[in-house]
Amino acid sequence: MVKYRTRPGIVLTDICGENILVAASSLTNLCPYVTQINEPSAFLWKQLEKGADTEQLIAAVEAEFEVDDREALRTVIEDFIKQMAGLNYLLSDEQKG
Amino acid sequence: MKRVFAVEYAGHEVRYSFLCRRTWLNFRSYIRPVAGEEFDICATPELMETGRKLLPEYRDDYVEYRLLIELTSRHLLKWGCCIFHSAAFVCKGKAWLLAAPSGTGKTTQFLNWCQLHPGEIEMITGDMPVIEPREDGTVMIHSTPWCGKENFGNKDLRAPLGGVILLEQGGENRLEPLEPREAVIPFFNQAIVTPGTETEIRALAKVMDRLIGAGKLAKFINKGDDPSTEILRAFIIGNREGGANG
Repeated sequence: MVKYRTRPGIVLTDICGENILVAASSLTNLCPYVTQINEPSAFLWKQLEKGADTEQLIAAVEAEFEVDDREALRTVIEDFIKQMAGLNYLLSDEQKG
Repeated sequence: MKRVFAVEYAGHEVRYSFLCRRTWLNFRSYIRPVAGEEFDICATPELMETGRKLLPEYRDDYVEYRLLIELTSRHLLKWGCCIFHSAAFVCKGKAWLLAAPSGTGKTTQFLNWCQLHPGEIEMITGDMPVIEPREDGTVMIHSTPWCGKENFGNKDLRAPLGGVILLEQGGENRLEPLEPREAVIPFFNQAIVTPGTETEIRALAKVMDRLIGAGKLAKFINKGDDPSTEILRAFIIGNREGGANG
């Protein structure tokens, strides 16, 4: 399975309680400048920043929240990764950056 | 030897070295020559080349003057300030920002108001105010040499923030409160700076946090006619005692 990590130059920040991903100027041709994400997504992002893979993300969510359906959780996490990778906010371990 | 000029923004002096001999003239009364050769900001020839492509109909000195907005805003981040694309005016001691892309009616609203209620408001700058969050919780709005096409601005005028209104042209006049979560992306897009480092991103986020949190917020779809200006005025005059979002 492909492992993803956060792209250097993408910063998670908080504005009035809202979680925002901001891309540094060197990345503005590559990915959106600003994207608003919800609280669970920000939690996943922070785990990705620490280098977590999908299994570790699942474990981190399970440790933090009550989860009934592990497979549904996996789908949510994979969708999140797909979305962030689609925005070029993530690098796969096959990419350099 | 190149001359160095200085402009003061929110009490911070920024020193410029210009590529074009005439650029300083665009800064009018905001600028003064200073001794020495040290400067903070200078446009590069590469940046000028990009600027010429973006503003092909303008002279080089004006292109350089425009390019210096973003460089200045980025420089101001180190003091926790930035430039925010909006028309800033004072009404009863508070600064109000009309934020919108160019050509969306910021100046129209100002001119309508001046005509309908003379002497009630005064322009800080028609285009690019400096946002300065202060330790005491207020957010001060200052003028800059970038005052818009009509050159509306007063170098010596500054005021604490009353609120920010996002303008949108439309076929109706409708003003509605803007929730902070709805303001984040549009406000980021109105900040005249694309931060280059994590430190700058965090500094800009802090300014935006304070800007969104310190005043009233509204979204105003409007036709740019006199009734729309009366709606705007009623919102601002009615809210002048307010300090928090609501």
